[in-house]
Amino acid sequence: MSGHGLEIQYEDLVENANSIILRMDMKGNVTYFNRYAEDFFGYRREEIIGKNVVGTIVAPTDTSGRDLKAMMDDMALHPSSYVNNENENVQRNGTRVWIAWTNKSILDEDGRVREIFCIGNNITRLKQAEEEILKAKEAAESANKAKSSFLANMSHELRTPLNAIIGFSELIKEEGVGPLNEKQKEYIDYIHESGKHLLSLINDILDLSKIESGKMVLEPGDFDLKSLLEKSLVFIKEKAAKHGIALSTGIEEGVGVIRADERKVKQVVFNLLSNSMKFTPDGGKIGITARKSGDKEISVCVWDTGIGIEEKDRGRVFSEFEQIDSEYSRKYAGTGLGMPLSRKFIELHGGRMWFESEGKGKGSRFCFTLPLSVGQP
Amino acid sequence: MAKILMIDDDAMVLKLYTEVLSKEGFEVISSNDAREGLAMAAEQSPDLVLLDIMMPDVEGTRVHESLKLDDKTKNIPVAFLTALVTDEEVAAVDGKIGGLDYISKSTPNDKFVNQVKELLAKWRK
Repeated sequence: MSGHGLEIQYEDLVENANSIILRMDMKGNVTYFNRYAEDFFGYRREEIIGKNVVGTIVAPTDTSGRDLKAMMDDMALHPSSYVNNENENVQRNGTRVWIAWTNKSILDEDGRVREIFCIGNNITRLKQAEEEILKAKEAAESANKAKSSFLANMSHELRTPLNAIIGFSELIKEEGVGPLNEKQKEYIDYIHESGKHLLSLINDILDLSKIESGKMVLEPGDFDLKSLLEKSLVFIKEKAAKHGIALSTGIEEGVGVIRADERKVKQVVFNLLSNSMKFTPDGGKIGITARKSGDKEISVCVWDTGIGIEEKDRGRVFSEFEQIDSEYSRKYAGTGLGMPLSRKFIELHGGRMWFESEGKGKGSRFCFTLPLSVGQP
Repeated sequence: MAKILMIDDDAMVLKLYTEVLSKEGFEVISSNDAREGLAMAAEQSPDLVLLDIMMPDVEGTRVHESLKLDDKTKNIPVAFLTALVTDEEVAAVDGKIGGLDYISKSTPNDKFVNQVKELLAKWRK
């Protein structure tokens, strides 16, 4: 095939391509405009050739106020910075469109840039979708912020009256303002306990929402895990004795000082122990075991001889606001947030939490692992 | 026995802790108005001021500044009362009050008394 034939073929290709193809000189005047460009922008080539792109297919400023005239001037000076460029263009009827351009400099014999060869693709829809996603993201973020500040405010507004309910009922309950008869004692106990329950629910919800928004941070410090576990048992000692429940510990050699968030670990252990207390009938047993597993981890288990967990309930143990069986939730008051929170606290430390139960009536064992030093792999 | 001044806009809070602290033998004076509270601090020189951090008219930290500016009151120990309990909130308050003492209003009564006793012991040193 002759060179001339090739040229015709290429011309044909450019002319009929399904892309905007044009050339302009260094002043921004159009020197070539293909058929697709004609259809797309709404100018016939004899109308636009010799005219400047600014004022025809480029508006002096785009919708966001960006100075496109300045951009075109800059492109003439630094064409290499504009090899791939996205900008807003305008059709003859005034419709704004977004085009992704590839711009190639055409050099003369002396190596100076003579013209710029531009191929453009219409990305208006893509840009619109991008904008919509951005808007949706902003809306979601602001909704989340609103939720967080709502929760913070609400918790304050709820806690203020609750503090009065709890504080005054405590005062009355302890007969600090006069003697009570049996019924009064019983009823004021209900008020006091219900108030405390509500307060812990509010605090749990706040904690959970903080974890969800990634705002929960650990405050690690060195503390003796062995003594924390032993002290935790002391807190349920009285109640256990009242119900004839035997307590035991099995803390192995090697469980000692670890680096973790003591308050959160304490909260987890308390939660597991108070669950065991709740679900273990009179005369049962509750225990804590702990041992070093490997050289970087400690595993802790709280076990009991309580009502156990049925196969069908296994999936719900760590779900929020779930308590096994409504029959139990009436009998064993709780927020239903203790387990999911506990698991999240452990996971924040890089540990795991799980449970084992042979089934209904066969007790259960809740275990978690903690790294010896949080934040160190 | 030590004299304690409480300044809090919430009359219920004043009533509750007046009961709780008087039961323990403390002399308790209180006001639900910051200006009046400042005057009481100057006239009656209490051993400790418990100051609500969030009052509708004036921030507790401003009242604290006023106390520290007056020669008659500048040496009286101050602890803030806060309805906040979570770590994050306390940290935020911490930043605001620069490591000053505070007691949460969610504290059970007996612990509240203990904290007041600890504060008094700390400042007596």
